[in-house]
Amino acid sequence: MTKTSDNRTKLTVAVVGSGPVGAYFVNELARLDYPGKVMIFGEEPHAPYNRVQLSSLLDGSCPWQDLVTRVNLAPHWEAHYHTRITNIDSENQRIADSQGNTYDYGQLILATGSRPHIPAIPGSNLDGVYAFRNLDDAQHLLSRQVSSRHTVVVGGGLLGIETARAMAKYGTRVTLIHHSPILMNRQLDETSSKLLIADLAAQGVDVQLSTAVLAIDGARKVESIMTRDKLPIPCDTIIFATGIKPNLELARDHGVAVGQGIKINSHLQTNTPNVFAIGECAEFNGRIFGLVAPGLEQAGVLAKNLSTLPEHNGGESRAEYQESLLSASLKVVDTPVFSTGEVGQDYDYDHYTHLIYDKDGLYRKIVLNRGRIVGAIGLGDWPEQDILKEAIAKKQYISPLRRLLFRLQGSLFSDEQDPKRIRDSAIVCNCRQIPASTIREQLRLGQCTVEAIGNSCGAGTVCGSCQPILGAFTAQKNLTLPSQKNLALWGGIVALLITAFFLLPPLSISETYNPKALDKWWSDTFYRQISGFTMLGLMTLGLLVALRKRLSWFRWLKFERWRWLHVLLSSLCIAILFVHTGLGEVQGLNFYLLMSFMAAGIFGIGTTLMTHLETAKPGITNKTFKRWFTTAHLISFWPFPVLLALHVLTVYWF
Amino acid sequence: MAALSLNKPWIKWLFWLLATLAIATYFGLQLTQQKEKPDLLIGQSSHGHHQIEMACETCHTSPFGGTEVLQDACVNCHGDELKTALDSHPLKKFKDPRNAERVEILDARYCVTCHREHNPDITRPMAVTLPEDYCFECHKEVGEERESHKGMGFETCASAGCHNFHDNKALYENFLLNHAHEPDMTGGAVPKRALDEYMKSIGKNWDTKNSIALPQNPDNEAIHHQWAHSSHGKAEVACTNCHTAKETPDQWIEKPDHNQCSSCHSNEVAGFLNGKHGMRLKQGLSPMTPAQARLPMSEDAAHKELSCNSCHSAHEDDTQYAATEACLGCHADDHSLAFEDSPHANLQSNTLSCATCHMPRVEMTTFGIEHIGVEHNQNATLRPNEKMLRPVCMNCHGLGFAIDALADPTLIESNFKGLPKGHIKSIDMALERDKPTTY
Repeated sequence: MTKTSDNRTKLTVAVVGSGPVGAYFVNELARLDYPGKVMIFGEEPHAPYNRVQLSSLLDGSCPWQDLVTRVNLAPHWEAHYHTRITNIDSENQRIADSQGNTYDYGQLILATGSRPHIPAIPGSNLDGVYAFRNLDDAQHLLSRQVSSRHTVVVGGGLLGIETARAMAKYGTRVTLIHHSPILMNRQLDETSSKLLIADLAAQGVDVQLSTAVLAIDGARKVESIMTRDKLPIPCDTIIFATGIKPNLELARDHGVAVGQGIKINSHLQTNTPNVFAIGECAEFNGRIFGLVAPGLEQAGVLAKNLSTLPEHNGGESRAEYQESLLSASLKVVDTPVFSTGEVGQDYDYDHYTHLIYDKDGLYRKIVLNRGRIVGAIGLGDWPEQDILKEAIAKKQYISPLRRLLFRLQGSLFSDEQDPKRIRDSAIVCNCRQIPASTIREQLRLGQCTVEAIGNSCGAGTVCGSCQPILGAFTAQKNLTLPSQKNLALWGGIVALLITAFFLLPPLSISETYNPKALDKWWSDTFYRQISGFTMLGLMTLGLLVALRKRLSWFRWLKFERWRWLHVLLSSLCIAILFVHTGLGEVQGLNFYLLMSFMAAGIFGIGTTLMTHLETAKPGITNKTFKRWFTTAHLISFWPFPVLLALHVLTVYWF
Repeated sequence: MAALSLNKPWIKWLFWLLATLAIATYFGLQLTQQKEKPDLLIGQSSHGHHQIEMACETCHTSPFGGTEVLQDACVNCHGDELKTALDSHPLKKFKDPRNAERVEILDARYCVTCHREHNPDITRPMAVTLPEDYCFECHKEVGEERESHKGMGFETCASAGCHNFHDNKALYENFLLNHAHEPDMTGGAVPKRALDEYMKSIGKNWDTKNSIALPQNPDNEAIHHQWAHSSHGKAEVACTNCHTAKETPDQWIEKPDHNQCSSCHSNEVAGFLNGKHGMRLKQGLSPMTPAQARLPMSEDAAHKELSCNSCHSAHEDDTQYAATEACLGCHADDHSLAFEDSPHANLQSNTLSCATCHMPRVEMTTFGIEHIGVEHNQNATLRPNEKMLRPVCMNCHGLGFAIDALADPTLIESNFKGLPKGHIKSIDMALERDKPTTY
């Protein structure tokens, strides 16, 4: 062989398997302009189709045409459908089909997929027993769908549920038998399983949990099925959705190492040179994946590696396949079911915590490992799915504020600046209490700059911290805010001050006669009147910030200045309070007064922190939290005026 | 959030206004209408006043009164005491214009200058809220006037046996000299109450044969029997004398209170009401209970309510019980618990009781007749404890010994079991100064 032809052969890729993964792989190679020749072999008599959608075909929601997968073949590439590869000669890099035709390859990709696992129980070969894997099965079931009076689906995983739901379409009685006490036990927890069962029951599917199938009875055709509960269930159709068995015989019989599936490393390589495996037939890290997404991911990695490196056989910069995040979405039932990452019963409860949001017919659960999100379950619409998957793949840290938001509102990432994601009722401008709906109204009315919106409805004109969000509405990108870090830092100092106030022992009183001693400031009523009225004055001045915020004609000095004035004067008051009270015991009315003041101070500190966060990371979440803090700050201050008035009154009364 | 972000601003303000009014009403009612004002108490009161601290109007008699009103309140209760104490710092001294400078330093015209209530952090013994060396400012030259006082710290002035701001009856130099050479035991005795003479003076005698006729109701026989053998029975104080009031002679009083007792025992009841046992009753509050006390009390007695009958049972009059056993029914501090084992309790004559010292027999006038009676204000001789020297200790002990004993806190705790550890030099110093100067 000449060097050229050798080289050409080396570039030849043979793909065994034309399922979704094989087809996707070839399409990826085409997209990446793979220089060599590509051959795809499919055993089924059909052109490649999207197997994942078969249950949609069965329930009638998706016509056959939509299932057909177009395989993009470059001019010299070949597709061999209805061709079964039976031999691999890895030494000569040659494969052979059942007809005896041989094909030379440079790289062999095994995407042989899997077949349904049907448990070996008596009667499993009877007429009326089906699996649901390929188009032929779908065709059979489509006809049974009409004729069956009672169908039993065995296996309560994703496929089983979809099948059961599809079979019940024409009023056929459907019983779903599942071995675990939880439906979709690898993806759901008890609560979501219960909700799903209720949903299925409404659609005519009777679910029997914690039981197993022992035998199938019938003379020639299926007549009944016997479960572990020893009660024969009369039925005419039985569909097994009890998991998959990788198609690994071809590989195993020709010297490729197998375990549960064909063993691969992170470069998708098998133990045999130039032989790769992807999809459901592959076993990575001792695990096989019965879902399509990991297979596509593997195909993508492999296609990239083969295309970018002319040598094809190794190199440092190859992309590596990391273990896939398993994610499942169930769409055939009325309630969308979404599950991703480490959920269900699998996780180790010692190191994991979870948060649940269960309101208004929605059930959402996130699983955290040391504060990082590792899994999520959702019943009902959860628009954040894509961001969630990304966050779970990255094991993103979920801050306590976000966790609180999730508990209260059920969303983790609603703070994106994408205006589409902002709810109508979300308050955008805290100062003037303007919701997103008003902003949208302004946009409709033709106010298309932040300034114009501000002039017409006042949004963003007080503290300005919502301008970046308004900018997102008006597509003005370059609105940045001056950092409020110093304000938050000052808040920290005040926090220390308040902590010291409560922890320090009472200020000492001189034990000996000394008219110059400072203790008169906290022991003498005259000096305490001085400090008291000083605080009253400072606080009144600081409270003008509220007027600057609320009165539209009061525009003297920038709001930011007023805010600083308010914070600094209030801090000074806390400092003066040290001597005014002498840190001694406070009770009754004076205690309530102190608590009102200190609570306002503590929530004020929170407000400074949120002011910093809302400028550093503008978004609806931070706005929401800031509003809470501001509200708490105000509410805790509400009783203050009357308590202070009573304090002054009683001091002079007695 | 829906509840918080009320859409109409005026609703929020209305809510705030209502809340403010509610708070103002709550405290306003407490301030003006309620007798007890727990939320307006600004700090724990001193030992002397904590029982009545909720009855603000006892001292704060009128609103916005200021110092003068408070002064009146102090004098109202403590004025007599100050008078009998032959106060060494009387008010008139400070009202004298010549002392204006001193008033500037320490305004001793007002009690609250030194005794400020509700300041537990700075309250010292005798409820003094000034530094212990407050004598300094006026008496800093004392060392020059008296050789013996040179170098003494001003915080030691008020140590037992030397000086008090108010009551120095037992500490004056002349008094010290007069009693300078007394032995530890003088051989004296506690005065007799002399009830015999008192009864004679009111025309009664001890003859129980003249007792009232037996009762008709056999259920009351026991009561009648007790009464007939009590002082009341012997003095022919009949059932109706206690069980009906003068103003309403037809109305039977099931449980006569201290007001009834007071119609004869006015001095005793007045003492009781002035002391810690009756001060709550005097202010119209509920009776004192050991549970409210700051001294250690027996748990079993926690909820007993104090009245005359707490110590003096209704019909069976046993003053010996009242003088010791009754006290120990409640009091459970070390000093009280040590009494039974103390030398005072174990004298051969077996005549000393708690009351001997704490409710001493003093001269008093009842119905215009001078006699020896029991001071029922247990506080009258208690603090500072030098007040006990003349009416109590010196009945039996020499002054020097008594001063030393009262200055020894461990000795007090053990109820005077043993001898004083230290020695107070006040008498020695007086003697030294009294020596004729030799040239």
